[in-house]
Amino acid sequence: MAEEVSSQMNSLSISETNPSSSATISLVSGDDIVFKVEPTIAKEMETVQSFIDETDGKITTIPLPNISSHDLPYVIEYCEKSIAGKITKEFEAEFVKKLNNEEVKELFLAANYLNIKKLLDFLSQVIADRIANKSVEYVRRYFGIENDFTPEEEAKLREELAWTFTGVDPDDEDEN
Amino acid sequence: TTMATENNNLDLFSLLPDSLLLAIVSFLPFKEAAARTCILNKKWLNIWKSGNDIDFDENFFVNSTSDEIKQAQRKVFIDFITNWIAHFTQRDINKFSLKISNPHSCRNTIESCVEFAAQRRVKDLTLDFSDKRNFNNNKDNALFPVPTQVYQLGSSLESLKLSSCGFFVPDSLNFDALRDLSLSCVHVKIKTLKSLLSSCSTIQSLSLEKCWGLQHFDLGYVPICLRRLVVNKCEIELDYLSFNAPILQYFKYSGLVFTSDINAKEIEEVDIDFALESRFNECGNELCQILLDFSAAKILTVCSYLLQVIPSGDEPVQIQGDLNVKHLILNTQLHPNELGGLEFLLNSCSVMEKLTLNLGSGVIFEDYKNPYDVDLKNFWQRRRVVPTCLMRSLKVVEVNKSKTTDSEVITLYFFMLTGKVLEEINIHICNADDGLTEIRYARARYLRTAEKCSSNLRISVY
Repeated sequence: MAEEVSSQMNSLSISETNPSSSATISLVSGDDIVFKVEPTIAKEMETVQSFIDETDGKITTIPLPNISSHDLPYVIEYCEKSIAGKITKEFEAEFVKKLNNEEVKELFLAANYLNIKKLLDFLSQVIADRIANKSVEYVRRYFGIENDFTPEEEAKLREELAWTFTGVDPDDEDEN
Repeated sequence: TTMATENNNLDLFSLLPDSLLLAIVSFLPFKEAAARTCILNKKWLNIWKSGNDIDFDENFFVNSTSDEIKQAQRKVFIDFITNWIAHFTQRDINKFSLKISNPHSCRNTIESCVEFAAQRRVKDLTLDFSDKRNFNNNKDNALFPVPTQVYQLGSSLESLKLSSCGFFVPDSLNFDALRDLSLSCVHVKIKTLKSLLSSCSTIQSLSLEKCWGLQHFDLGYVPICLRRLVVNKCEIELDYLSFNAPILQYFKYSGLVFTSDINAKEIEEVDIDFALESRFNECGNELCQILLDFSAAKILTVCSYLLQVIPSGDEPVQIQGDLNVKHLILNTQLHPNELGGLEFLLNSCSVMEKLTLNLGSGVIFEDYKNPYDVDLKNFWQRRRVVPTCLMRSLKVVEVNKSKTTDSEVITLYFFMLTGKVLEEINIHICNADDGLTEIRYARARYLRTAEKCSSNLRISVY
């Protein structure tokens, strides 16, 4: 609950800082919260920009049904930093610290949907870091993957790859 | 709602295009990717197999100390390579790396690997035949020649890294695309380097580490196109370095003191370490010539040896010329024997803005000769002339691994008393497990209460 309230406050503060300028773009999250952003931010999101271009800029309210009001502020924050040329290792480290594994996944999907190359690359690295040293079972759960190997196929593959299964961490990290 | 989100994710992730999942896989090291992703399901197995960066490393497989088990593990490794190569689909690859010891015993595997990489127009090739467990073997291994196909990779190869292998460059070599060449534990002649650099003008970066067979290091007067040059602990018979590198930006050297005849007018950063010197020599003039040849450098890193020796030349207190150094990095102990060298560099770097002292490295030579009868115990107390950089430009002093010895504290106090434009002194205390950490913090903090020349100066202790 607290998170929902804070994301609503966040959306409010975003609209206040850009008072009713007709140039701003309204992004509407899946749970119907409006985020007003500068057109430069929209440019970072290829999906949004091509929508604007297709309508010759007449439509400035863009529904993003696949993205929640919880995730959208993170995406906007990253895009703002990117425009300002302030994506540093320090920023990225701080940014990722705030995110649990579930949020990383959601943001990856959001970045893919919005087609933001830099954010996708960055989150690929984050996901790679988070699955390194985890067991196969953990990674399957993480990606929601169904195992379609037969037991014989899996056993054979595991034998071929026996050299890789050293130093696996126990599966105890923030699972919901 | 949590359940709904999870199911949603589950569906969405399985719908993502393979290229996105491959992006994740390619951020994992080869072995990690193998262990975590290919076994997830058939889709991921294919994604893993579609990767274009291949890294065959014996150390992933062989870890036993028993010879018998080692042999068996090595066989698994070689079988894995053979199997992998046989099932790889036909497409170009980006990186190919093979690390294997005892190359003579697996000649066929090595040759098929190189053939595989060549057919797929590899961009980045690494062959490493060194034996991590037995360094004495490395010179024998170096006799194993690089398969000749490597020399025919001309149009695709951008980066070539060779370690502990024989490198016999044919006369008519044409690496059109090569930018980065790195040789480690390789027998190499200066003639080979010269002809490589003149025939492959695309090479921007050359790194030589622990190479031998160099009679000298004279690349002649013909300009070379290198932007980066690293000469690290190589055996060079005549300690003479001469080259004309008008666009060189970065130079790193570690080894013996050398006679320098170098043109590097565009140089930005230089790192010089006389790590192979084992005794004190009065070669101050040679050291001055090296610094003058790199006088354009903005960032300069030097070692404790240089600090002890540089005042031994004809000019004991300042270089005859201008150094353009903005940031000076000293790997030092700030031993009294090094203070003459420190003052020499302060005098010589008249536009320096930042000084970094990395403490705790370097050997102090017992046969040190005091160059001009100075009282080393009271070195800074006896100074009459303040170096120009302290009067005009030096803004930041960074001290790493400080043990707050008397010599360190007094040196910093000298900077405080004379640094007119100093803004920051940042002291990072050495965290050795010797119970003295608290005392060190206290001594460093005490400096804050001392007198200072610049009112803007902030002293921070970490």
